[in-house]
Amino acid sequence: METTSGRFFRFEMIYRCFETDKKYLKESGQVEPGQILTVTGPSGSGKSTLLKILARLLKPQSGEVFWHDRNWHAFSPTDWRRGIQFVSQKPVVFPGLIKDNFRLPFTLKNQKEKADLSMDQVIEYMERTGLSVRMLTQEAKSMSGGEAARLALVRALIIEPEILLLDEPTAFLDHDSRIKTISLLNEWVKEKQRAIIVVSHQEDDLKYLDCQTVLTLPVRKAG
Amino acid sequence: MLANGYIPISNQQLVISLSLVLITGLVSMFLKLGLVKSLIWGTIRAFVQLMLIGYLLTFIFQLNHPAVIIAIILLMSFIASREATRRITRTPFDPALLSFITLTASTFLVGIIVVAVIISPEPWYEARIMIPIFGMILGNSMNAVALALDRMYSEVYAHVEEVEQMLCFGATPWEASRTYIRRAVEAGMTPTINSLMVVGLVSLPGMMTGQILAGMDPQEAVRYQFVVMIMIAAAVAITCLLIVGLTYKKMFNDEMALVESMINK
Repeated sequence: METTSGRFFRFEMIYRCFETDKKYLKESGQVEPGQILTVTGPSGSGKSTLLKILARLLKPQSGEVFWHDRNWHAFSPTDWRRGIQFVSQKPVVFPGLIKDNFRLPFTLKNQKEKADLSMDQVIEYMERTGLSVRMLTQEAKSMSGGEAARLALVRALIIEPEILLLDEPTAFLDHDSRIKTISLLNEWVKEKQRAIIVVSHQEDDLKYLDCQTVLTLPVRKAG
Repeated sequence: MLANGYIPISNQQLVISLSLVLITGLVSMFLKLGLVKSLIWGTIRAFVQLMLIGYLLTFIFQLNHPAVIIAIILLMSFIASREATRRITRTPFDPALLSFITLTASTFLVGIIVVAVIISPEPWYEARIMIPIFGMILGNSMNAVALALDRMYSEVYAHVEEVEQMLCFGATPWEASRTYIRRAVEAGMTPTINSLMVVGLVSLPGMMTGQILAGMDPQEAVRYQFVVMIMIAAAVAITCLLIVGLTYKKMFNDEMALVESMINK
């Protein structure tokens, strides 16, 4: 992987105004392999919007994003999103068993050609986030909010993205689970030389995440 | 008096039938439903519209020209497409044109098989056969378009997070929305399949009733009805597949993400 500054992943002058008021987002940033970038700021500053733009779920009015020094339009949206996994604040759980939820990404055309699901990896990540392996055969919809949030995170990790975009990943977790999850994220970034961009309000996140850069978004308002 | 196997209704008998409107009006007045004005207006409209269509059909049947017949079917298809999409709001685009293409394609495909191959009148485009057959297909396909489109949008609106999560896994728009598209096709086809189950048990279909009233042997009438029912089922299936196939991509932009009007609730 590239190590020269900004060559791994960077976003330049991402601009988007919000329709409901005169607020707008205008931001640049970068992250390198083995690094965590934390995005903070008051509500309405566009933190979640920024992550969704980086995941190409929303279009900015202007700005560019580069991954491996290549413009985002050089990648197909499906390849981009697989390599740059976005995990939303509200964990999404699909009907069926918990193990089916882990299997789901590997049933897609895009994923089939690239990797197979490793159940050993699933079990390892589940245990490291405090989820019991016995839960694999449980109905996914019966999970609590905290369990669903960890399922969503483990599901994103097993896809083996290069970059994780996490929106408040520990918001639903109790203190112990939060510490375990943060520790997993810290080790994942270091061991695999991946990167994380995380939006968070939680003090624990800011305290325990091995974060190299904090990007504080101001509330920008036109006029 | 029987004429050509059916009993004609005279002007006097037509006037007597208006007494039935009085019953409906009395119910409305008794329960203060406020429907009397609509009822009177509806009765007048129904009478005038049916009389006009009676004269028009007589004229068209006599003319029996293929270009005129096709023009009328296209007009019917246009009206059906407007009607099918009129009540569907909050769509990311106006589905009227794609509905028109869908209805025209499915109606002509199934209608021509039924008229030219199965019923095979002489000439094959016989207006007396083609217009009612195509009309029945259009009426049912129109409802299928309305049901399938409405269900597709409402399902995706209700599952935006799930669709976006699938996109995040690297899914294509089809993979991300196919669960909801299947539900939409199912919603469009269910009334037709249900009607196949209960036909003859719960109700006698209008066309068969009409033919029996017109003096046709019931055993002949049921043959016609059977052909019509499977014709409608085939047309509805094609319609549902076509309309969702042509429209689902409009919920996504060139970045393979949901268009913003689908996200902003």
